[in-house]
Amino acid sequence: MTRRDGLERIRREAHHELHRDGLTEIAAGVFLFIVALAVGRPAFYWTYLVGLVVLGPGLRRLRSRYTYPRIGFAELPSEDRRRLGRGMALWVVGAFLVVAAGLALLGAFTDHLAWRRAAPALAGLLFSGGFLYLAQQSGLKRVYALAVASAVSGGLLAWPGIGPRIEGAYASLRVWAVLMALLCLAVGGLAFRRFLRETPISEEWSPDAE
Amino acid sequence: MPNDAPLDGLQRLSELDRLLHEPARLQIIAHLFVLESADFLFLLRRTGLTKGNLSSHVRKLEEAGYVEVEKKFVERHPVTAYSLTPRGREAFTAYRETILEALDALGE
Repeated sequence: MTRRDGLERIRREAHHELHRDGLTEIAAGVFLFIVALAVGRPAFYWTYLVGLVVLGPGLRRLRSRYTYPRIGFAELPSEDRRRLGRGMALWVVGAFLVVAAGLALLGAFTDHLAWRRAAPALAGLLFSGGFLYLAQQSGLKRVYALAVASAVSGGLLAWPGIGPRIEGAYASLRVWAVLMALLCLAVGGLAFRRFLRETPISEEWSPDAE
Repeated sequence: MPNDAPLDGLQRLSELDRLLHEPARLQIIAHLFVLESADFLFLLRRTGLTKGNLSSHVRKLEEAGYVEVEKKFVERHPVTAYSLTPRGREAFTAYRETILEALDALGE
């Protein structure tokens, strides 16, 4: 560490503190279950919307009840939307290019079905971007592990001969989403349990609490 | 041959904001510089100060117009959030520049 990056360290430690409760991973797990339920089933597309609408406030409510009484309340500065959007767009393009290169190497670039079978690889890479972003912000090693698990499991499930022998366009994508959802819920759940056990409610938390 | 000219960076030390040139207040303001806002408990845990110390230093920063206090509700729970004012942000930026310049003048 140089004397010039101390503020960056303070920012990262604050991020770390605010995310070590594991609730973000639990929310990701719930969202991945929604993906598993709704993917390729137009009748369930509304669940994406419900998930996006409910998960944010739900997470805030849980933090207000369990996290802030233990570590205090802090708001992180809002992201530079343009920079974030550019980063996301680049990541999506990069993920497509990786999958396209993989299919080209397997000689299946023009095979429509091969692209569908490669869906877990693409989803795994896309979600790993989200995990990687959170991991970089917070320095949480378990989130780095989720990023790696997301990309590797997606790649494995898409690999010919390794993925589940289930027919159907989105079968392997569903399997990947369920596996990742279970992993996120397990990792987040354990982190949350540990957080509650190791960090008691502070006497300094406002006595007006509900 | 020794150079008698004073080091510019060191000379600027006299311009340092004395209110910020105090470890506890510097810690508080550095945390608020990287956060949108934080409550008393969060600052207490992050800075490691005692309640009395934190309270008195925050009050001094507030009186100087560097920190503002806002009462808000987070999911119906009342929270007293502290944040840096534009004046506080400017003061901290200037302080950082001065102190880094002075340290650079001293060399490794």
